[in-house]
Amino acid sequence: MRIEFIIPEGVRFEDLQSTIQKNNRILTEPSRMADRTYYDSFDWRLYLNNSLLEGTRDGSENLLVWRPLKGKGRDLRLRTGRMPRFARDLPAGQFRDLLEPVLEMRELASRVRIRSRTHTLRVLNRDEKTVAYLVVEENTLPRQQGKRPGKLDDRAIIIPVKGYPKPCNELVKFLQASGLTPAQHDLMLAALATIGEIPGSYSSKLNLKLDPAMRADRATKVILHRLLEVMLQNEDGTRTGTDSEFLHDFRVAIRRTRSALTQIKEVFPKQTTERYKTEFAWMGTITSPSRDLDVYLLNFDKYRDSLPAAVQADIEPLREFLIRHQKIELRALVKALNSARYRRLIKNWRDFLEQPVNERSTLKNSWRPVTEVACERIWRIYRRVIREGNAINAESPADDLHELRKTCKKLRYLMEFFQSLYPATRIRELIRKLKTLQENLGDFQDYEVQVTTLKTFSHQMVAEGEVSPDTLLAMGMLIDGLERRQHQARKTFTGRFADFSLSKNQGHFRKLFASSGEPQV
Amino acid sequence: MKVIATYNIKGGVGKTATAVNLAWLAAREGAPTLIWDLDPQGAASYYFRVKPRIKGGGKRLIEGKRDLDDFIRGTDFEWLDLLPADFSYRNMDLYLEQAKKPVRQLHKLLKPFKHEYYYVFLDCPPSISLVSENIFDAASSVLVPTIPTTLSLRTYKQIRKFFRQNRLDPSKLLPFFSMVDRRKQLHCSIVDDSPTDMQNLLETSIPYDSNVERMGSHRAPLGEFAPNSRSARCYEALWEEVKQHLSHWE
Ligand SMILES: Nc1ncnc2c1ncn2[C@@H]1O[C@H](COP(=O)(O)OP(=O)(O)OP(=O)(O)O)[C@@H](O)[C@H]1O
Ligand SMILES: [Mg+2]
Repeated sequence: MRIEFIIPEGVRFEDLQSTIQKNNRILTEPSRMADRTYYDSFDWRLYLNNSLLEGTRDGSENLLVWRPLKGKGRDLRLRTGRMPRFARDLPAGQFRDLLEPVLEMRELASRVRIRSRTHTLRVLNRDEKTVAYLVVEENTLPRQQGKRPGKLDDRAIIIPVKGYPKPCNELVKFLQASGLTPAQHDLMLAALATIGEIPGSYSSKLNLKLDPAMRADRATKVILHRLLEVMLQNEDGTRTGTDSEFLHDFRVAIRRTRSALTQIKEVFPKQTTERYKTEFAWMGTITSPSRDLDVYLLNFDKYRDSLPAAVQADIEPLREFLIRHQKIELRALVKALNSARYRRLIKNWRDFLEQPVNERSTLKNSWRPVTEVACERIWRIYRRVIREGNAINAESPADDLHELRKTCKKLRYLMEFFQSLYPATRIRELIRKLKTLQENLGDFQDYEVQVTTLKTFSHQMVAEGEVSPDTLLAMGMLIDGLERRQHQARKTFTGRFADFSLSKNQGHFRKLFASSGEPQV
Repeated sequence: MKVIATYNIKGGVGKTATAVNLAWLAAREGAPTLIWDLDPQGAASYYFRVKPRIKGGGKRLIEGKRDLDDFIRGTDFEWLDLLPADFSYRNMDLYLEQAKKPVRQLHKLLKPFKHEYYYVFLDCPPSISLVSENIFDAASSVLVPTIPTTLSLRTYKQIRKFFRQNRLDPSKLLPFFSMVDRRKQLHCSIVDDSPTDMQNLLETSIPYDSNVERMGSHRAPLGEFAPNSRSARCYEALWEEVKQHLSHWE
């Protein structure tokens, strides 16, 4: 594990070097300039995973180092030609195997750059073998993101060689005696702070702190304002279209907004609510074709791998079809985001949310403490979930499950909006239980939608010409597989719902959300 | 983890040269790599300037009283570690015999490194012994450097026979031609018209090149002092080819 020291003003590298040279066999490597770029996803997945990804150009190649920010753990390195944008662009191997689960589908973006002049000393033993490294870095911030260039700490880094602890310990003693202080944070964090970036600052979660006594209409505005913020944070990335997660988060914020408008009743004038419901429904419509295609492309490899090896190649034309249409749909989406209608919507919506609440409101819920309204709404929707679920048996049509799925989603959103009003661990546990049920219902629905969409695609491909019968056959096999899985999901449902509706669990919900006068389930 | 052995019953065919150069290439790609010098002569340890010494010797190692990790040394190259040889390895068969499952000992010792190393190279001593049986068991691929002579081809057949007789998977065996001397007619005719009974023969062969011998005076892998030599290029090609054949280790 590397040990970093900060070199205080007035300590010169040459002096350190000559002193070390007196007592050790040293090999001095030529000094080098290095431009290091630190990468992370928009939502800081690497940082939140306690790690950093450093890229240095070396001729026509990139040297990537992925290492822990704090504590022990092994660094991983990789030499690649082009800088990968996604984990899936990496060559097969350990680096990718470990990075993919952290980064998933997100794109790597450059977060900060550091320019360093590095001087490396190798400490050698009698066999001229390297037994420790001392790297001295003179660090600066090049011009970036409109910020002027600046200075960063100079650092001395001891890199041990496994199995040779002694020379390292001696170096540590030596550096301390020379007035160097151990660094508390990685240089990347210092660099981020200097350019004013806060790692971990983006989250698509609501992360609100609501006061239970707050007026319900004011609290609703707080929730909706936060959702607007998430939407706007994802707008640029949505327009670019390379990282599908921007559009995903953008859409989730829209759906939550619509749900809040419908579910938190009698807080805003009906006319206002209706108007924005229409507008956000429109937002849902314009973003959905792109999302559908994204989902297929994200799942594409899984689809292909589910087919017998002999026909896997036949499905490739579908990928090309998807990519082509994704481009077309993105253009349409960007056009909609540039439209006057969208700009007006965002402006008016923001104005409305930032206006103080109407002190003379006569609406039933606007004055009530948010906690009352929250409990009432959650309890009511929860009871509906139980009622709908209980009514489902082996003969029930698929639509009944879809209805239940929608009700569950409403419940989930409500619980998330008002999460901060309840004891954290308890509501989290109930959300987790609901999530398990939702996953099952979601699968059931997804498989069905995928089957329908695949059928539509195949017709479209025929209409566009040049689709081979082999491709259509392979798609047919995919559809079979999806239908089988949907069937499986249906079979799992009964058990999942039984777990969710255990009377013990009902008790937990009741305790948290039902007021004493409320009817029981 | 992928475990690659370099093995031949015959001595002096380029086993160590192959293990050292391929391990160096693997590490250069950024894959955490370990080379285990199992030969009491300690040639691989010598190339990496690591003392061929294991405290307590091979006996202690097999008994598993101490963590194998304590014996591992970093080399001069990032990502490349070495488990040194020890002169006591010459008695390895004796220690192995005393263990519970004599042919599974190496496998057992490597298991804790499953996530630590991406590649493990085993540089083996010549001859068939309990050590080599352990290697056949532990390795996912066994590279067999073969000098293109009639006798060497026979040796390869013997190895395959041994595999069949001991219910080992012969598809693990990856022979390739080593120390090919184009001035020798026999070499040329064998390499150019490779015998049909050399199953799994890799396409790449390593030429005879005095640069390989110079590894001894440089005490470094080829790529460090003669990166553009013909042999260095061939080892690169060999590594690319070997990677295509590797399977994951269970
Ligand atoms: N391609 C080559 N060209 C020239 N010399 C080579 C070549 N490969 C190996 N040598 C030399 O041949 C000798 C034996 O090689 P090496 O040690 O790699 O073989 P080995 O099979 O490991 O031997 P042993 O059985 O003794 O362990 C060494 O001196 C080495 O430098
Ligand atoms: Mg050898």
